[in-house]
Amino acid sequence: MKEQRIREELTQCRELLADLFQSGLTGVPESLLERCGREAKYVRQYGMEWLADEMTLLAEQLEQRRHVMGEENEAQIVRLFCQIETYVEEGIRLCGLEEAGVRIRQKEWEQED
Amino acid sequence: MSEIMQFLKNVDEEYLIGLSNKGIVKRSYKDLESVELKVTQEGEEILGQYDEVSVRLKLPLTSSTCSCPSTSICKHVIMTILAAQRMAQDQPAGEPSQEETAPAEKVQDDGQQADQLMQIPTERLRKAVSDRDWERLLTLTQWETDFEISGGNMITVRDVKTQATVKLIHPLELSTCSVCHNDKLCVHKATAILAWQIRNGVITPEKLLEDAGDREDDFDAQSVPEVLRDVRSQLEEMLLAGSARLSPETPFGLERLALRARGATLPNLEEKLRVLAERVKGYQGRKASITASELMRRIVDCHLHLEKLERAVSEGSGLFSVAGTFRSEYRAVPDLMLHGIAMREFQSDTGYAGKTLYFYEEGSNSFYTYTAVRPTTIEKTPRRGMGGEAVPWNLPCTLPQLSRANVKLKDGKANDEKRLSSTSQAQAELLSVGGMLPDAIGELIHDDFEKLWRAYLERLQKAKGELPEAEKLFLIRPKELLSVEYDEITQRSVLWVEDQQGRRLRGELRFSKQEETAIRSLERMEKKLRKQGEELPVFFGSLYVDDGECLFYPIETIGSDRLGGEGDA
Repeated sequence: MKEQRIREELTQCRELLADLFQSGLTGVPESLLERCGREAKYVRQYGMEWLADEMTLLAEQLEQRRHVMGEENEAQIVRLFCQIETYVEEGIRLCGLEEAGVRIRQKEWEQED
Repeated sequence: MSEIMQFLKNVDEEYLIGLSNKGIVKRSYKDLESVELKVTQEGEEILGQYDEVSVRLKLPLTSSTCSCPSTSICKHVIMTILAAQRMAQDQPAGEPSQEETAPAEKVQDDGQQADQLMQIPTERLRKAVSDRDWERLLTLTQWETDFEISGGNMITVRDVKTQATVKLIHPLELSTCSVCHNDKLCVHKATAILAWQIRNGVITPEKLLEDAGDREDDFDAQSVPEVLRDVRSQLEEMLLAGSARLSPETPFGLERLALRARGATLPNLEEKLRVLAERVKGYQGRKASITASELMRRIVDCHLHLEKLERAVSEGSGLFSVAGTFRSEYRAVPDLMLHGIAMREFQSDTGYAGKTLYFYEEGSNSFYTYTAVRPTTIEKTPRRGMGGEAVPWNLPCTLPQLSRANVKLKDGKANDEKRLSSTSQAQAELLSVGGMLPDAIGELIHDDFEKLWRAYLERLQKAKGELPEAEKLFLIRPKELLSVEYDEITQRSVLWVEDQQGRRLRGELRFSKQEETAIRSLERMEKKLRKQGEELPVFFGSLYVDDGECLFYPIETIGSDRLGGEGDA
């Protein structure tokens, strides 16, 4: 199911964002930045161009933040992070609804065992 | 024909109900058949006389008097109106009376009614209701869908949410409201006029909100930006530092900011900050249900709201609607006929426990809830009559009995989420316990899961956000119960049901002390159904979506001993 695959991909993005949040946006390790790049590639494959661009931009700004300090830069990173999170959350919700609708219409869908 | 006679000719049953109530009107019709009521006209007044009761009708009808001890519009007044109406019908139509040629103000015809109603200025309506009610009107009302409006001799506006029916007529003193029953311009009449004006393009919801911008003077030009700046700084600090490095002081800092948001009249921000403070406490206390992802969601939600507020401040408009209103109040509702259908015990994470009762309400064909709650930190076990297990409205029964009782509630109150208040002003009559539910409930039963899903989506779209508890409730009549199994690992009881078309739906009950009885009874029911082939009951529960699947949480099963009618929802 297409909706399910997109939702799963977006769930991966949410997990990545949660990991970024756990580490703190001021001190993101290299491995997480690499994951950002990878996720941007995956979501682009699913046609989510906006999300891919924003993820790439976030990764760049987080990388920059490791070298440049400044309140303005920090506020920008936080805003970008929040925009991405909102998009991902809304995407998961809408895909979940689509998926639930498709599932309930399927007459003999398998129980999940 | 005199003005009063002309007016009475146009009065219909709904108007009379607005003037008194349904019971009195019904009784008046009945009694009028068996008594000899003498009606005479004295200029602009009509006198009614029977036995020792004398009635004097005058316009507006709410100023009519009766010699009986009643202080409101009694059945004698209504009977006199009905008798006078009959008299008016008997009068020859073309015969002009002295009054008709007089220049006195006449009751307006349809077109004039509409014109007059359209000309009522918003400011007059604004002054008629409290600040809080006005805020609620502007921010919570969905003008297109919340009202049923019909024309005729009088304009009838029915509020679908509150069930209030207003009969509009000019001059406004002649209008009636099924909730307030008086001639004053109440919140229901003001709402009805606004709904009528919006439906007819006199004013737009956007214009109303824009006008509300004038109230932005109420916001403190200094404290609002200061609060917003400090909230921004706190949220940014949390995201930049990361969840692992949040200070133990963070929840207290958030609570202090919530207090300041309250002081700056920013209710939505206050609520979001309080929720965030609770979540941070839970996360730092290693509560399993509060993950980093959940915490992040709350911070982002708060940040988004903050940006909207900042935008409104910088643009100098819209702050009033973004700021929101303080907690919705319990408001007067029309007389309710409640039929208890279920009761559920609960224990919250925040130190409260209690019981929620679910009622089917006949008039609105919808569900209402009542919650008896107690703080578990103070009362480990419920105490009778101390707010814990206290039965509302002084009813002579227990809460479990009430959950199956049929109750007539007068002067009750409920909030926007259809939660009933235990207000002592309400008068309740316990009609019976148990027995059949009204046939009309059959219209709410879903036996086709696709239609059930569509109904759920419709509610979701209408709510434009999270569904209130009462809107998640559904009655489901499956064709077959496929299985009931308890999963030891996830500690959940899972049941599968199927509709006529073979569509399946999964129900889930998580194990807890409160749900143990429900889980056992589901298992017993399944065994019984298999052994004795009994008829499957109707499931009453709430619907939700989780992980791309529509699930239901069963609250109660209702058997054929209470349900008669076929489902056709």
